[in-house]
Amino acid sequence: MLFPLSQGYNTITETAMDQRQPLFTWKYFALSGLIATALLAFILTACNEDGLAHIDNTATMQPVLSEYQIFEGKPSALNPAAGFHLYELSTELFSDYAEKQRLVKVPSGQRLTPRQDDLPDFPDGTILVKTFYYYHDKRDTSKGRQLIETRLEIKSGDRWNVGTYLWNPAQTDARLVTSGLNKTVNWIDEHGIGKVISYHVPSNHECGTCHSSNDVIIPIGPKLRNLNTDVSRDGAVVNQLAYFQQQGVLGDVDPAQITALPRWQDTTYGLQDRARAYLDMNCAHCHRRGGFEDGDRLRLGYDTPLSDTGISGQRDNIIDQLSEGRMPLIGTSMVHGEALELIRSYIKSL
Amino acid sequence: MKYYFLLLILMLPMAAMAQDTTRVRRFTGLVLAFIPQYSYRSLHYDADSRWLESMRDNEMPNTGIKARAQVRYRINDRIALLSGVEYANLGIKTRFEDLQWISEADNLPQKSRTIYRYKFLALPLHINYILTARDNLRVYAGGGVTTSVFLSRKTKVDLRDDHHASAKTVGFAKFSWSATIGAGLEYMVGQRFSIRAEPFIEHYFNSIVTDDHIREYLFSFGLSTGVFWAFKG
Ligand code: HEC
Ligand code: HEC
Repeated sequence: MLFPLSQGYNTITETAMDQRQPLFTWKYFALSGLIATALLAFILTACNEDGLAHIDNTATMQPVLSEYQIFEGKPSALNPAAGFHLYELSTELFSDYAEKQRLVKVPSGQRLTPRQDDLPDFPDGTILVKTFYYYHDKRDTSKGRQLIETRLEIKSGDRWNVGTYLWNPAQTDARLVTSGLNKTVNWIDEHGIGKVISYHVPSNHECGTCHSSNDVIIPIGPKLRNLNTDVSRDGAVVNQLAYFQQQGVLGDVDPAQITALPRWQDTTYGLQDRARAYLDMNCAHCHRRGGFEDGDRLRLGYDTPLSDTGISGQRDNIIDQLSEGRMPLIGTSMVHGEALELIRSYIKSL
Repeated sequence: MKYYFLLLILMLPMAAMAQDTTRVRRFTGLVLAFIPQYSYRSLHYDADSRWLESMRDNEMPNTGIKARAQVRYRINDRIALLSGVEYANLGIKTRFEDLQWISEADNLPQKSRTIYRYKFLALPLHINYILTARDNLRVYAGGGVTTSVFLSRKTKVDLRDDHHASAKTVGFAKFSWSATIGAGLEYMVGQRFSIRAEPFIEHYFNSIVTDDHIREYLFSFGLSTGVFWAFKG
């Protein structure tokens, strides 16, 4: 069938007009060329953009966790092998109520060198280990736990390399995952309420986003001020820094000369101290100079004087961002209710 | 594919320039479309990561929508370009799975599934080619490319009686490109008003995941339903 002209795109409004003018002119080609080049350049640069920091490892991570021989016996018992030392933080990162075990191993004969309140110097070959798990029933932890992932930081050639390992259902070993993934996790909390979440195992780009300082990976938790707390070891309560010196893991330092970061839940500390400790461990890795957000809006390190933090200018914004779950930018899938209460009271008190 | 893409880019400024150099009315009207669709993903893992594939074989397509406003630009009697803005929402979900609980407690949910929704703001550029026209009816083939800006991915945990959700704005490719093909009917209801229906498939040709070991390409298929208003002469 022949195509009847008058019934194409030639609507009433068009027919009366002159259609013999040229469609393509030199101007058209010049402009097209320009736009096409600009768009192509843009596409090539934008293709890998995902709003996160991209910091490549300089050493290869083992494909399975057992290669590192971190645990002795059944892994789900979380018994550290020789050379791996348990450490605890006064204030921790909130990760959807996951429980965490943290370990450090320094090459034998070497020690962490203290640098005031800050991160110590780590010798090459140091391994930091953080295992995320949930108790099946938090009311009765003897009912066992479910290991989810074990994250590693390994210092090699003066660079930190990161990787996380997803535990298999049998809980016998864990495999390296670089791309991030979601996994349904359920447990019964301390109030007897069944919780079901879509747990997010972070990608390597996500690790780099929280752990970056001027575009290189650094550890976050084991600052001396965050380790300067009492822990129970071998049936006795001891200062953790003193204990590490005894164990030959840490160089000489007087705990009395080191700031002690408050435990944010500890109400014997003032509101300000507790809130600032929480913000330090949950926000400051991004919100500081050299961090991912680079301190443009907020500088939330515990040692930053209040007037330099930017908190007073962002009071409502901070509460909004937290209560709507938009901050922290990554690493949680729910609002940390208890902490929100604390931050709210703190902001109100300013 | 790249060549085709470039060709379409080259046609973009035609709208701006041609208007100046001719006296022909080329912007002929406005197309508004509401588009129910199903979407899914294809996964490509390298050898090291292949074992992860099995972790996602409980996923299935889910419903989503697009809403689109485009201006129609007439090239000739058969061919028109459509360009405008679009909001797209692509869903993928997992099957309901049984939850295991070690001990007893009140009201423990028994099943759960996860629904992911990718949200984009996009610039679609389409071509319609009229295959045949009779009375008030036109049959056309359609195709085009869309540049999308990633807005967020929502993750919803559905427990049947209860649900909760969270959203992420980072961690996915900020810009995506997709190609669409379809075929449709346009029925003129009055002098200046038509209704349109167009089944289509759309495939994204860059990975939404930016990892080196995994590629995840979204695609969708559905029925674009819409109306066309001719501009007043
Ligand atoms: C949301 C931000 C965030 C992301 C994403 C993140 N981390 Fe961390 N990580 C932290 C913070 C904060 C700490 C310290 C506080 C703590 O341990 O609770 C930490 C601690 C650690 C530790 C213990 C040593 C240390 O630096 O304190 C390891 C190991 C670790 N992370 C590895 C990883 C790896 C590997 C990834 C990616 C798979 C990752 N992290 C992703 C914020 C993050
Ligand atoms: C993984 C890095 C990261 C973490 C962790 C993080 N932020 Fe942010 N935050 C950002 C970035 C990047 C921005 C800039 C705006 C954006 O991209 O959304 C920002 C912006 C903000 C803003 C300003 C928002 C606006 O629109 O003006 C506030 C307030 C804020 N963050 C509070 C917090 C608080 C409080 C925490 C800790 C609970 C936190 N952030 C943790 C990265 C982070």
